[in-house]
Amino acid sequence: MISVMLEKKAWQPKQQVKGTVTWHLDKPPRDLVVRLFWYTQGRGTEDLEVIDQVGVEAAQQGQMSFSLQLPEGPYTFSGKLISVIWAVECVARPSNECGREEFVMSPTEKELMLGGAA
Amino acid sequence: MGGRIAGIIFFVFWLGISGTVSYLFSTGIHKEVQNGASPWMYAILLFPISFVLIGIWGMVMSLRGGGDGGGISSRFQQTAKTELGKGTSLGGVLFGLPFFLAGMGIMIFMCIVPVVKSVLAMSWERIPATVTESQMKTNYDSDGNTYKAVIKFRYRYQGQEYESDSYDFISFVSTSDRKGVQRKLDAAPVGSEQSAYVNPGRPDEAVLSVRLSWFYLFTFIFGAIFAAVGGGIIFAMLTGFRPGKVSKRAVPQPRDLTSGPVLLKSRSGGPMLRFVGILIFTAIWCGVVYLLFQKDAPGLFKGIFGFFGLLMILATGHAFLALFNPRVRLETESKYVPVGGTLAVNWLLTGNGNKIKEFTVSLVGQEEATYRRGTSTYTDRETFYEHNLVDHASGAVGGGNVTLKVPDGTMYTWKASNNKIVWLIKVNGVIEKWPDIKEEYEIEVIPAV
Amino acid sequence: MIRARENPFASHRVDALAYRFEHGGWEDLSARLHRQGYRGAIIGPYGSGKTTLLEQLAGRLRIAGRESQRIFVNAQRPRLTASQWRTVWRTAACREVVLIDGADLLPWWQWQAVRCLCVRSGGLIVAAHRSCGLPVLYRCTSSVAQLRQLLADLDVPLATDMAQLLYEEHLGDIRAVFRALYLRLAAGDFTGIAGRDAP
Repeated sequence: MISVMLEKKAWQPKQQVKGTVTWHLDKPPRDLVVRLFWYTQGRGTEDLEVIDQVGVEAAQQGQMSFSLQLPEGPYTFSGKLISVIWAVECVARPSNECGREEFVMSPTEKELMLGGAA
Repeated sequence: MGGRIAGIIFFVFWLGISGTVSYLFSTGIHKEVQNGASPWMYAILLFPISFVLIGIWGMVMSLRGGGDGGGISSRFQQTAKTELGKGTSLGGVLFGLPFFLAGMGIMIFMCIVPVVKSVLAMSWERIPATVTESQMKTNYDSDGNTYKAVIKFRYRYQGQEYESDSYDFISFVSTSDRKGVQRKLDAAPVGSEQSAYVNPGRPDEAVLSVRLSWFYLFTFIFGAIFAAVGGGIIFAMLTGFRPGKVSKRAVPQPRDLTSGPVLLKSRSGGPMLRFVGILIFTAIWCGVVYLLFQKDAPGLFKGIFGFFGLLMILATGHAFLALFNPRVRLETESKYVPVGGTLAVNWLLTGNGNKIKEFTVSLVGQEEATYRRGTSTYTDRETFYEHNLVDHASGAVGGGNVTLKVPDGTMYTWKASNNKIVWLIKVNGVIEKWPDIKEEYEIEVIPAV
Repeated sequence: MIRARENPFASHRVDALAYRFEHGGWEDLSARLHRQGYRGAIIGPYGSGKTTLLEQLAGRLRIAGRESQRIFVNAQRPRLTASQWRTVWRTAACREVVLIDGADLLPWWQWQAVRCLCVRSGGLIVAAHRSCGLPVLYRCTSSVAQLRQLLADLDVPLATDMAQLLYEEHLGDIRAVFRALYLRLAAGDFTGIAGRDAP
């Protein structure tokens, strides 16, 4: 079991995303990585980009705080065709077990709605 | 890197050959014009010069090279990087090579070499010669007969008698043009006295004619088409595949908002470029069609080529008429505008704006989503913001300036592999009984400062 | 009007749908694959699920201990890149299974070269509109019943007559039906979707 907890659910561009990852696995992983990334969902094929990541001590269980740097964008937004979603994820290899927490990233700390999407 | 070097080497050869041909053509044509030929013959130089231009373009492209197609991998596109790799294909090179070699062979041995020899032979000694044989040799073939003029002549040079069977430097070629062959024979009947050009360095080498005929042009074009097709395939294989650029970090860096006036370029390209491209292609195509009709080519051949030639002429006409559409010139005070910011836009209509019945200029924000599944790709677009900046219901519209405002709380210009947010200035002009004006100009909206 | 991420026909949902067999099933397919020496073609018209079936077949092969590599041939650029040629070479050399989506789009000489390279591979399975000289492994077809099953998988209760209408309008191309439904829902048109309120 891997869980990611963030200090808050919304951030502004260029801030440091801070949180804690807690894990309890069946056996010690080869490696454990916390990643900050965005991805798209909607009409088009998914795009994804990992912005920042940090390695975690590969123990069978533990807890660790992290701080990851947000870039200027893209903002969290939703239109009719495209949604951009930000998240922090912790992945254990080789089992690929993971825990993820989504958050909003924008200047207003609210998801931008494009056009009539509501 | 290897592809770029190969491309450079390839275009060095291309430039060498096309430059040599251009020089030889110009020398030969100049002599012909001095001997009384029409000055319009200089127009023939356009063909070898066009190959020089292609070579220069190819050299520039090879020297500039191209970026690697890095892309953002989607979690579900396991082979995204595989698809976007820079590519060479040995098989493609081997496929294009015969076409290229055949085309170059035709150009070299049936045009360049005879032309070079003819030009050089113009400075040989001219001495009297007597025609001893003059007959037509026919090669019978199920695909169509071919004919060759067999003309032999005797001459005396420095006390020695010689015999030659070279009427000109292309007489070894059989052709389906029976009339042309007959004209040669009629000009040199048995027993007639002619002037032969004798090579002073090799007196056994002599010809009766050093004229540059249209046949050389035909073989040059024919060979050039083959060489261009094969060379194009080889060039594409050697320089590899360059996918559309995808920035790994599609986030704009802080920009200078006072960068000065910027002339926006239409997304759809310019009508002049389209017209010139169509015109060149049509001219070459119609030239080939004309020669096919002149040379009594099979009817089916003439029919197909002629039909497409007509279509090309119609397309050229349409492109020509489009040149007279009023043209839009858009200028902005800066390259970038932040979210929530304003941007001054100057617009000018050149040409006959009186024809325009309705004219609008709008700021548009658009989502673009590309879905790739299997072998198919679909791109959908959705306008999420539209605001008219200029709206003339009717009457003449000359120009003006307007300030656009990007709304607050919206998304700036952003591009990923499959998903994009773009901001456009759209210009629409309705013209009765004429193609409408429909232009789009992309502007870059950056994050709020 | 709904957010792109909430649209039931968003690409990540549609791409994750399990293939619905019109005839036979995974056991039949596996048995035939084994009999044919892991060589064969999955054929069918546009939007009938060939890519989905090929993708899920790759997963099944992995579970069975057979590694594979998938190559996509795009209609916009119907040839293999150098990188893809290397993938074919490496996969064949490692005796793994080569999976090619869109093999029928390749030029004849490229396809023959691929077949030669894959003679000693662990297998060659293609998804195409025709068999490309390989034995037919499975013929994908679509039907209104299949469309309704997939809609149920997506939790979209589309009225039967609407499903029929869309299926006929798009000539049996289920991918095109999903695209049309995505755009319809994105525009706020929920006609034919029983009991569905706009979120």
